[in-house]
Amino acid sequence: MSDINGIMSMAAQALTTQQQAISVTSHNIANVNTPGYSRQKLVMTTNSAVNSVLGPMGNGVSADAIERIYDRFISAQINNESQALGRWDAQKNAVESLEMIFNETYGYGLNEAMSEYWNAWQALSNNPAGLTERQMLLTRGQILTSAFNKLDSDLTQSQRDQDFAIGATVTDVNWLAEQIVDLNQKIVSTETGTQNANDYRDKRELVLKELSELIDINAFEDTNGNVSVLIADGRPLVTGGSLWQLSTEPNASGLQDVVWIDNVGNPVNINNDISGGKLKGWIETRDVLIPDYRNRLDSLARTLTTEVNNLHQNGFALNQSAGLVFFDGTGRAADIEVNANIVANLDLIAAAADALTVPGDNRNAIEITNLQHQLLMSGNTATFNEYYSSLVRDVGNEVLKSESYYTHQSDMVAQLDNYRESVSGVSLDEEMINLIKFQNAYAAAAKMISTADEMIQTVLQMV
Amino acid sequence: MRVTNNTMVHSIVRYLTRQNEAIFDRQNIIASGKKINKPSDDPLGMGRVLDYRQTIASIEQYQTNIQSGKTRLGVIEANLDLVDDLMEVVGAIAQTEIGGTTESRQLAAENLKNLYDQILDQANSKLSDNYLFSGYQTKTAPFSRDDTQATTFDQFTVTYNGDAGDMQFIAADNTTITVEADGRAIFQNAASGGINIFDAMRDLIVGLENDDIAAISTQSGLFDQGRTQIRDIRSANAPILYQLKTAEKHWELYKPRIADLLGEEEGADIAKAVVELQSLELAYQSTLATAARIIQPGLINFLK
Repeated sequence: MSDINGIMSMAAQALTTQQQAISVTSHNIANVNTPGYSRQKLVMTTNSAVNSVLGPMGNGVSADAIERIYDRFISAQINNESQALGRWDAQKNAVESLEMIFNETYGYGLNEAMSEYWNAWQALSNNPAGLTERQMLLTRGQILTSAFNKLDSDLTQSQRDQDFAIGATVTDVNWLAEQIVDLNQKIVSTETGTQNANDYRDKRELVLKELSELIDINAFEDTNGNVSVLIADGRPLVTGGSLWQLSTEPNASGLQDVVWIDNVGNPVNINNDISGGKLKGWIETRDVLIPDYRNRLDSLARTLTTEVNNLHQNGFALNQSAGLVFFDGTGRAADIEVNANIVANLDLIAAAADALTVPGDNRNAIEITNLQHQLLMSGNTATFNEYYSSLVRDVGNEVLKSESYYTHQSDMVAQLDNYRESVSGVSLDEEMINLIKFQNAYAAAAKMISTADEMIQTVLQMV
Repeated sequence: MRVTNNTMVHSIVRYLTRQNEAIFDRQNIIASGKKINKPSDDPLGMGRVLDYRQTIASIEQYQTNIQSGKTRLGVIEANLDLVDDLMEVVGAIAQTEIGGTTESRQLAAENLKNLYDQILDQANSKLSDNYLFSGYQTKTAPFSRDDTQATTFDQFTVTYNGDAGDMQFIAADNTTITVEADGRAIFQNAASGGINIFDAMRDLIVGLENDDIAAISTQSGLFDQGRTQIRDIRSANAPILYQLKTAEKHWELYKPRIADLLGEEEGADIAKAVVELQSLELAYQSTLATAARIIQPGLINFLK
């Protein structure tokens, strides 16, 4: 088509195409900061040539499609690493809050309360009938028991916090799964023709990434463009347009276990199958770490109660009655307390070893104070103090471990994000160059039209 | 590698966050003066810090206990020293009265009754409301006599109201130091080959009142023996005091060492932290400067 009209229409199509390219550029610039956005480009092709006596003659440009520039493998990798990142992020934050509970850096913790308690027995041994010494011992005993109580209630509170987070996350997972189903439908219906659902795909990838931060997922795309998501040991969450639900149900400890509702509506407990994401981090802290710390505190409280009580019951009070139990409770850190009778009557503290040797006898007080040096914990290998120090040390180690995993994992994800950005990210410099390029092409195409117009005028003047 | 605006922004944000964390850490160290501000700063170190602190608290308690023991021994020593002196006077009076007259013996008897009560007072002495020589019966006066009795003999016969208990002080882990508190061992040791000081005085007083020269001369010989008995107790207390002092000295030397270890374990090297802080600040400022230069300009700034 080498006539003037042909030139005119070729230029017109060039104008439209360059304009579309500018529009795509504008979309890129507008979304430079949109999370998950992949830059797009207009695919331009030459129109099919027209045969002429000279051979095939070029017939201008047309826009073929709008393509999204991305690496399909990088997303899967990011999702994989995000699961571990989510897990360690959650676990790091959780154990950091536990660490605050056990922070004895400035004293005033259980360690100090224990040594003050033993020292109060010694002070009593210096003056076994002394009211001040007895009052001091009672106060130290109460500080010790309330230190136990507080540690346990703080740990329980933290456990409840994790539990609440788990419940909320299950809701988030369901919501994200719904979004994936919705996006699946939009993508499939958009792509039934030859068009690309670029922005929907970006959004779906973003949602998958968010989901992978919450729970371990395995996502794959079928030929129609549907993404299926498997979670926790291969259980489907999304397959094409179908959706499964997660829920929670209370377990024996009164905490919420995560359950997956199968296709006939039965809940399946998947607590132990979850292997990644924040859910894993919280479940690990709630069900493994905190119970372990609480058990160890309980074991300390129980042994301390038993040993002190045994000796105290062997002793004799100021009124020559046989010693009562010093600590009351069920042998747990949560409810250990000083015997209310002793609180009410300090004379009942049994410092003497014999009814007849009251009030000057301090032998029982010395026996009790010596408990602090005895290896009564960990199968008779550790003192009370050593046992508790090792607990604090383990909490510190757990924080160190989670922090180093977290740092490693976040470096990994950052690197992958950088890689993804280097493929799909918008570079403003690049877009500005493209803009000028397309603008110039647009101006040139316009010039073609005025040239063709002048040509027509010239022809008309010939008439 | 294709580097986009966001790549740069993200990496700058990451670096700034890391540097801020490191600066925050150093600030904490400098402000608190401690390099262990939470267990995860050094879990093993934290365990040792707790051990050292407990040790120091124990040592301070041992020092208090030892001080109590020393005070008690000091008071006992003062009491017994006085008793020793009084006995010397009693002995001298007895010696004199062997050759005395009936009148002088009557006077001496009255005099001795006062000395008797003075010694009884010492035997009943207290330290912060606790009797020192009544064994475990610290709230009961160890020795008593009854003025309402008819005869001088009965009036000046004492009963021991205490028991055989002693007083123990904890001077170190699982180590106690025992101080004698049984008044009978000190004042009424006839059973173990010594003399009963009160009975000896009583018999002397009765002898003087009755002008019984045989009794006077028998009793006058006993007081040297009594003084030896008191001195034996005093010499027995000397090594106990020495033991307490040794323990005290041990803790005086030991405590600063543990405190040093504690300081080394948890104390911050402030100079080091300050130098680190300075170099971190430099890095931080460089990152900021770089960020300011890189983030701002783009091609757009150069297009008209």
